[in-house]
Parts: sequence; structure tokens; C-alpha cells
Amino acid sequence: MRYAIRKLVTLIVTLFAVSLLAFLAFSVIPGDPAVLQLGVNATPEALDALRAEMGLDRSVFVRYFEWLGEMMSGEMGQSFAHGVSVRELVGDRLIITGSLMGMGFLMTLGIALPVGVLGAGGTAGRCEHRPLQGILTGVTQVMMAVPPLFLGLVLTFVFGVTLRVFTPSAFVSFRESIGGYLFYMLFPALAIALPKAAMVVRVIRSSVRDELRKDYVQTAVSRGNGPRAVLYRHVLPNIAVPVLTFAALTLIMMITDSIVVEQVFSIPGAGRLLVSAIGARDYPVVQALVVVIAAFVMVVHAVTDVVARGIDRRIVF
Amino acid sequence: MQNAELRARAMRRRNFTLIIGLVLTAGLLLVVVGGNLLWPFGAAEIGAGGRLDSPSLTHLFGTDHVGRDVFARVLDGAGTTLLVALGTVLIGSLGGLLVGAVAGYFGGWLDEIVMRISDGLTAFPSVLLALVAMSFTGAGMWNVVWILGLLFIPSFARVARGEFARCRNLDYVKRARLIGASHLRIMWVHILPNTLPVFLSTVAIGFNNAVLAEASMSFLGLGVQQPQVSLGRMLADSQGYLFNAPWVAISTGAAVVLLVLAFSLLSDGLQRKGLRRIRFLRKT
Repeated sequence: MRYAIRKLVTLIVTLFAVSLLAFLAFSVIPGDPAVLQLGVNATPEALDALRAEMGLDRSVFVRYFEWLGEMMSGEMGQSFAHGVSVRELVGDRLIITGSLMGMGFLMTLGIALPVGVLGAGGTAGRCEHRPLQGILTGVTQVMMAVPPLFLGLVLTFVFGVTLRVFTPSAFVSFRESIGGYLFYMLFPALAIALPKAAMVVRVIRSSVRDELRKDYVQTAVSRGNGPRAVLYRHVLPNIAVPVLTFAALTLIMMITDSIVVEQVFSIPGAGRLLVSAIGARDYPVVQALVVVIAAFVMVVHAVTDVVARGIDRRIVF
Repeated sequence: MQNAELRARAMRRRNFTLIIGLVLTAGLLLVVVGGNLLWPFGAAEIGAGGRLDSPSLTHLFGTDHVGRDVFARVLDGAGTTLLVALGTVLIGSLGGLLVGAVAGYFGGWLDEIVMRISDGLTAFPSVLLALVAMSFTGAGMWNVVWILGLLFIPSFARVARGEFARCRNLDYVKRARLIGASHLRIMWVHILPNTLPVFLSTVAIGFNNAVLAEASMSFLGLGVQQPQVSLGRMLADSQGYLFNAPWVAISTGAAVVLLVLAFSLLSDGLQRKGLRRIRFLRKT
């Protein structure tokens, strides 16, 4: 518990540091936002007026705290390109992206944990089902090489175009129908989940294999434990932490995947907003989303650390 | 009988992952380079065939919506993607080797600072950071190369640092120091060759990541720009006629998968080789 509180404090401090860093990074970049908005032919008076309106005539630190206030209140600043608050642009997008990643992550675990554990192969040094093991190794190796964007296209082609299980780019908002929304998100989530599941399966299998070489496994066997008991009672608890850490890593990697997959399945999520804002150099939007993503990444890392420590008390950070 | 058993054991010990990885990588490089030189159609040649022709002997992967030969485009696109990957990995690995070698060899506060920065950077997916950086610099192939290259430095630096820190206090390095070899000479002549088995596997995985990163970024329209062809750009274009001409998306995607697979097998094989070498060195 004390560990969790210490982590929470560190998390808040780092969040502030990261928000400051993000803000400074976006204020030192060349290019005057006022010129960007009005064009190079604007009169100096008009530019000054706009700068004053955007608050650019004040010091960086005043602006930082103002912006921080806006981030915390949920308004997240004003978009250059659209002239509305970022909050308005974001709308449901964070929920959509969040649920896409959540579904992807659940699917990853749902596929990888059973396949990884059952496919971990023989306990006690023997290799069971050799051909099956070989096939599993091959499938995971190939699956890992398939980028989610291509898998998304393949799934669209097979289930959307050929089998007509779903209608491509006919997104259903969760405000209209929860069922329809979840069903539409099924294939995008699968496109994210399958390659990641292959990676997790690989990590589980290689950790089990490394673990089986250790002395305590021999001891467990010699004390009369059967292969199942050795695997479930002795080996799995010992690999829980590395597998958990890796799973958390895949959750973070899913941020990029979901940006891409949103584009493939035309899902109006935060990823597409980020891409269009980057293309249009709409810095306040990019800045706000970067801070949200950074917060997410750090929360995932912190939660992983706390859970890992909960599993294994020996861990000290 | 005994002979057969010995041979079987040797076969089992042979590094099949490395062999498959090497063959696949070499084969793909050969096809991409040779194909770009020899294939009769150009990537930009409009009307090389009919519109959206399905695959045939003249057009191995069919043609696209303006009759361009898809095989030629895949070859050209794979060339661009590999060029981006090469540039990225060169910047990343050389930068990482330099930073990691200094940090690992000298240790101390320098090491601490370098590693904290690299921890911070590797906490985020590099494609994401690259995308955000694109909002400052604008899209384009060379921007992708140097931004991704810089973002790859921390992961290479981490590996190099680990290896240099491991070797720093080995007996033979201490002896070299006693003889009076300079730090630079020790790092360059004595330690570097011993880090290579491990480092090379990281280089291969770097290619793997760079191909994936380029594909994603160009797919989102923030990487390689028209009229240049890259695998990511082609996948983005192919989405428009997935219904009429699925072969464009499938052949382009298959090229990405093969490249990534080749590099990941290569990396796994090299890693296995490196581990065996370390185990061997420990025994002797």
C-alpha cells in the first residue's frame, strides 16, 4: 500500500514534468501560430490583435499555467484550425479509442493466455506434441510479422467484402446502439489483437521453457508433483511478472496500432483526430492529445509496477 | 547407428532460424534489387496493362486503377521502404553505439543521465513520437529517416551500454589498460568486436521495426509522399479498390510481412548465435 502511494506521488510529479516539457516543446518550434492562421499576407496589426487574442503576447510561464488549468478543467485549449475548444473536437473520440484498445487488449489476453500456457509444451524437460509445437512456433512467428494495418485490410476483405459479415466503413456510434458499436469494433480490435497475442504467446512459451531448466523444477518433480502441478503451481506463478510486464508493453504499443486501425476501418477515434491535426499543424490539438497519451502511458507503467509488486513482494523500485 | 545419432544431434544444434532468416533476407534483397533493374515495367508507367487486371504471367501481381504494373510498384515501394529502414538503422545504430559505448564504458553520472533520458523516450512508442515530430517538420521521406533514426538511438544505446558495461571489468580489458592502451583503443579494438554478436541481432530487429514504422507512417499520409512509392503508401491507396482489385492490397501487404518476417528470423538467429558464443566463452 505504501508502495502504491509512493508510486502515485511519483506519477503526479512526472505528469507535471511531462506536461511542462510538452508545452515548452510546442512553444519553441519555429513558425508563428498567428501567421499560420492568417497567412503571410496579413497586416501586422491584425497579427498583433490575433496574438493578443490567443494570449501569445504574455510570458511562457503564464501561458503554461493557464493551459494547465484548461487541461485540468477538461477544455484542453483552443484549436487553431477550427476555432473551437479541443474538448469539443475530441467529443467521444477518446472513449472510442479507449474502448478499441481495451477490446484489443482483452482479446490479446483472451487468446494469448490459454494458447501460451497450453502450448508451452512439455513440463519436466520433455517436449510433448512435437509437430503441434512446431506449427504453433511457425504460426506465431508469421503472425507477429503481420502489421495491424494489413491485417485490418485482410479482415475487411474477407469479412466485410466477401462474406459480408459487417459493412466496411459503416461505423455505428455507441450512442445509437451499444450492440452495433461493439460488433463494428470487433474486427478492428481483432486486427490489433492477433499480432500482439502472437508476441505474448511467444513470451509465455519462452519464459516457461527457461523456467523449466531451473533447479526448483527438478525439486518439485522429485517431491512427487505431476507435470500439470509443476506447470500450474510452480512455474506459472514465477513467470507471471515478466508476462504481465510484457502485456502492459503491448497495451502501450496498441496506441500506434489503434491510430492506424482507426484509419483502416474509418472509426472516428482520437487517433484520426491526431493524424489530421498533425497534417494541419494544429498544435493545440496535438499538444493536448500528446499529454493525454503520455498520461495514459505513465499510468499503465505505474499500475504495472504496483501489480507486479503485489504479485512478487521481492520487487523494489 | 551411433554416427547417425551424432549427425542428428549436430542437425538439431544447427541454427535453423538463422539459416532461414539469412536465406529469406538475401532472397528478398536480391528480388528487390534485381527486379528493380530487370522487370520490364516501370512503377510509374501508366497503362502498362489494362485497368485493374487480375494477376497473370505478364503482370505477376495484376495492375492497379490506372493500369500500372503492381509487381513493379511493389518492387519500387519495397526499395523505398528498405532505403528508409537502412537510413534509420544506420543513424540509430551508430548513434546508439556511440552513446551506449561511452555510457557503458565510463559509467557514473554520465551513464545515469543517458539512461534516464533513454528510459523516458523508450516509454513511448517510437512511431507515435515520430508522428508528433512530423507536425514540426512536415512529412517526407528524409524527415522520416532522420526522425525515426534519432528515436531509435535509445534502444540501440541500451544494448550497447549493457555490452560495454559487461566487458568493462573483464580481465582482458584490465590487462589492456595495464599495458597502457588508451580508452579509445580499448573501446574500439578490444571491446567492440565482442559486442557485435549481440549488437547485430539488435540491428536486424531495428530493420524489422523500421519497416513497420515506415509502413504505418506512410499509410497515415505522414511519411513518404507522392509521387514516391513506398509499401505504406501503396497500402493506403489499395484500400480504395479493395473490392475491385484485392490483389493490390494483398501483394503489397505480403511484401511487408515477408520483409518483417525475414528480419525477425535473422534477429532471432543472430541472438541465438550470440548466446551460444557467450555460453561457449564461459565454458572455456
